[in-house]
Amino acid sequence: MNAINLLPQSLASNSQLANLARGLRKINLVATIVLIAGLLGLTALMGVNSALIKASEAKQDRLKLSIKALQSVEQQYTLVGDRVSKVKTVLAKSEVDQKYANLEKVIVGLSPDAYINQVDISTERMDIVVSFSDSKSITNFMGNITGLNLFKKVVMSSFSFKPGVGYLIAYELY
Amino acid sequence: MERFKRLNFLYGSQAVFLPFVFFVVLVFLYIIVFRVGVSKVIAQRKTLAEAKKSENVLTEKESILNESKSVLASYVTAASMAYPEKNPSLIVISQIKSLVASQALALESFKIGGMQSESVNSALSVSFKVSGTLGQITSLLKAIRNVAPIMTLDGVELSDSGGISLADISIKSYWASFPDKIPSITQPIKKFTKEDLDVLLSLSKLTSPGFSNLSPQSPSGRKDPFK
Repeated sequence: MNAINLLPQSLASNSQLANLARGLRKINLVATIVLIAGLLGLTALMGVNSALIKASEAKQDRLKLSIKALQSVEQQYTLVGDRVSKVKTVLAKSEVDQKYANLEKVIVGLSPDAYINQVDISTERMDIVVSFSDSKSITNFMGNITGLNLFKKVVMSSFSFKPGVGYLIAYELY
Repeated sequence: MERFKRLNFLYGSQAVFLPFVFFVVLVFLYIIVFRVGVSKVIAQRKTLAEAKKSENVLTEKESILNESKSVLASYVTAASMAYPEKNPSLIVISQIKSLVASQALALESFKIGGMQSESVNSALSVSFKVSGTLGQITSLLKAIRNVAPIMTLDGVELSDSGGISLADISIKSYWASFPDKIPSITQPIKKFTKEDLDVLLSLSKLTSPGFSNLSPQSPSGRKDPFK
């Protein structure tokens, strides 16, 4: 049996508005659920964060107390660190020490008949005067210097020969 | 009939009006929740990150201090001997004289002077002449590097005639006042590198001057000479 609508068609409710209202109600429902879930999530997150911050602050306080108890150790640590950095700076700047260390390596390689007569070490260069009994020793010495690869430049500033004494050679080592 | 139509429209509008108002309220609530809630969470995360960073710094600092507690005392003595707080001229004289004597060299002249005072570091220049064999002089120059306070060569002039060498040696020794404050408790502490530890090891091997530090004693009562 068909339902009978006795109201005239012109008085029928506006179906577009009714659809809009129904749609809005659905959207509102979903949005409300999402909002409540979001609020709960944010509150939980804030609670967790707050607890983590409090725990971290409590740990920091504990650590600060422990470090305060180690204040004398920290003083010693600071002093040692300060001295070490100063020593490192001074040693790194000491060019003469480095040049002398290089000279020691040169002396080690000297042949038995070669002899160092004069050394002058300054920050710029190292002047050495070496006496050799024969020319073979000179070749050995030069080979040793070039082999060590310690100097940027080697200048033979003077060369003399005395019969009975040998060769006397002055070098400038940079 | 017209009246019925108007009423019908109003009724339909009313059906839309309430959900629409609710929708607008929801939009406002979303904006408020996002603006307040999210910004609060972001701020909390930032605070937490900073707290964790400070916590790590403090944990590391505590562990470094605890680790180095046992060895620091010996390092302090070695480091403060090697790079003293005050002008070490007397110690330098003593060390050089003992080194020269130990190498059986003859000390020809000795001069102390030329103190350079920089803002933090100060240096003392010392020059002296010694005579002896080349081997003795090279041994002396080696030995200078093994005594405290640290001395660096500033210049060496060596001449040899007939087996006797004469050396004019210039050295520098250094001092600087001790740090007068420790870094703030939250400031990170720099762990000693391998290079630092090597330097410390070499400093602890340096020969200290033969002076002894007398510790202060409490006054003792005078003995009664008539008893």
